[in-house]
Amino acid sequence: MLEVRGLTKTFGSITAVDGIDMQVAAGAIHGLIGPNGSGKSTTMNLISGTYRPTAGQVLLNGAAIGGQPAFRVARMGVVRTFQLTRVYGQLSLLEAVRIGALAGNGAPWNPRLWRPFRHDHPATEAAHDALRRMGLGPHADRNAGSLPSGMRRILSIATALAASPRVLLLDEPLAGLNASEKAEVADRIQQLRQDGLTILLVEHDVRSIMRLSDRITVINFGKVIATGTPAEIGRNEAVITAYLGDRRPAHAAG
Amino acid sequence: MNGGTDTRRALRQDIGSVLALVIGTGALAMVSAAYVHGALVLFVLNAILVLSYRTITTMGGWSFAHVAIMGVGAYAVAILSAPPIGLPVLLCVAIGGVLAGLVAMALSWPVLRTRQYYFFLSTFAAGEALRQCFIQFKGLTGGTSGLAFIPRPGFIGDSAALPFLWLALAVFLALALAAVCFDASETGMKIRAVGEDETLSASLGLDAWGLRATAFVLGSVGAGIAGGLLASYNGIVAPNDFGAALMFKIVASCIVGGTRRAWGPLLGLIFLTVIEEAFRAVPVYVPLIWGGLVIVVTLYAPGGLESLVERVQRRFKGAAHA
Ligand SMILES: Nc1ncnc2c1ncn2[C@@H]1O[C@H](COP(=O)(O)OP(=O)(O)O)[C@@H](O)[C@H]1O
Ligand SMILES: [Mg+2]
Repeated sequence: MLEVRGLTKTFGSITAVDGIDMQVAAGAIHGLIGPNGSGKSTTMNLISGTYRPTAGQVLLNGAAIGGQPAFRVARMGVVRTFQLTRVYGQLSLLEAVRIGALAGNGAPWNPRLWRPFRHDHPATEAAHDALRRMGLGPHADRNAGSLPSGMRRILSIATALAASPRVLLLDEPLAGLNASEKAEVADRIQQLRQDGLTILLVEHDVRSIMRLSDRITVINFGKVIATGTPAEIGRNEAVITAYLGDRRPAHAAG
Repeated sequence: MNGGTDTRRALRQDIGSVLALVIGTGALAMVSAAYVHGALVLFVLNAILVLSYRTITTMGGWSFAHVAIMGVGAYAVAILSAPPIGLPVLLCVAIGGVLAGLVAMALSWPVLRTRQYYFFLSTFAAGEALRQCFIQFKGLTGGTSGLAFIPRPGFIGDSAALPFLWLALAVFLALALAAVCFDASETGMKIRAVGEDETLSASLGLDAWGLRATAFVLGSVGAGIAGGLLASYNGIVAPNDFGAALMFKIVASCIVGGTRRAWGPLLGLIFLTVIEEAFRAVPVYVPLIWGGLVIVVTLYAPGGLESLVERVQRRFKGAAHA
């Protein structure tokens, strides 16, 4: 479904991502883990078009999307969330998510879209649907800026979901949440996978990613050091020493 | 609840405030002496300017080129209505709006690369460059002394201000209704989304560049039309008509009034204009008072008068429920 070949990004003298190869299968949750600064977010930014790759390719169902501007990549079906959560804080939840549903729609200079918005527009229903799927249905009229961090994170995923992605990229969706919020977000992600969505999941929390992912790619210093099922990764000596140091996986999860 | 009630109520409020301004200005003109009419004409032209300026601010950038772009419309009318071309004045005003939009389109390529302070600075530079064009292309623009003998539309007559006021009000009404409908449109919502968070918007598939350019160009069309009307009303244009003082008045109106809603800048403009008229005897103090006002509002009511009004409304609503 989503394939990355030799993906490389340098910032001045720093090579943040160094020839990464990765294949994300359709309908799977693919975990991407690695220590802080190992290049996970940069990889996300390269796939989503936020950065231009220095070298390498990003393929969506065989078509090259690497190097395209972010909004084109999103319109082709690859939508991401951000490590530092971004939501439209000045809108209600419904309006915020509806922006996601409208985003891929039409050109700015089309005067037909300059007339007052009609609320029976299909995007309104799509937004309600995305909110319901993420369990935010009852809060549709609340102000997005007033949400606690867990719901804020879920709202950011709902907004991305409304843009009807084929592949969803989630950058550390569990970071900074308390235990019950973590469990809730993890359940929602699992649910999305059951609905058939393909997900690339960047995470720091090892326990969660082991539980959620079908396959995992581990990177360190911008390079892939292991790829496999969670069980294989859990046994991999290189991963344990490079990523977890002396600690065993079960303890590292904190 | 479908979440749409709020935006629909907002549109009704916006239309209501536009109508109120038109009716209020018209009523004031009927009861006031002839010397007031001239001030009202300028007020209405400024109202077109602040409203079109606010359309630009919704995309998240505060331009400083608005009055220079307005000048494009003014010079277009001055040149096209004069011999040897001699087109009808209202047609020239419309062409002036289109030309202002085209200039904005050309400017958007360099200028929209910048954001925030840099956008302010780059539009300031672009505006000065335009003003230099007005000065340097003497054969076309008359240089520093500008162009004179610009006609008013034939059906209006050249002496009294009142007939021109009706024309200006009609144009304001049409443009303001278009602006508030645009604000409530799908594209308007997307532009505000880009204004709030461009990175997030692009990641969802919004063409942030195109949306920002659309806001900049449409707002500039409004400025061009206001400029064309000003040229026709004054009968003369000069580069100094489009300098920092007027630009400051527009920006100050938007800061004092607030830009979240269309009526904010209009309220701000009324406020500043009332101050200006009250201090007519000592005009040197006016910029000082405006400046002080902007600072006070920025410090104590960052959302402008708009946010104060909304706070009071909420207070009343709360009291009614209690
Ligand atoms: N915009 C940037 N400019 C310069 N260096 C960057 C930039 N983004 C990331 N880096 C560097 O690239 C490396 C990888 O960062 P990042 O992808 O954010 O890591 P992770 O998400 O795995 O913690 C880090 O050394 C970081 O400092
Ligand atoms: Mg990161």
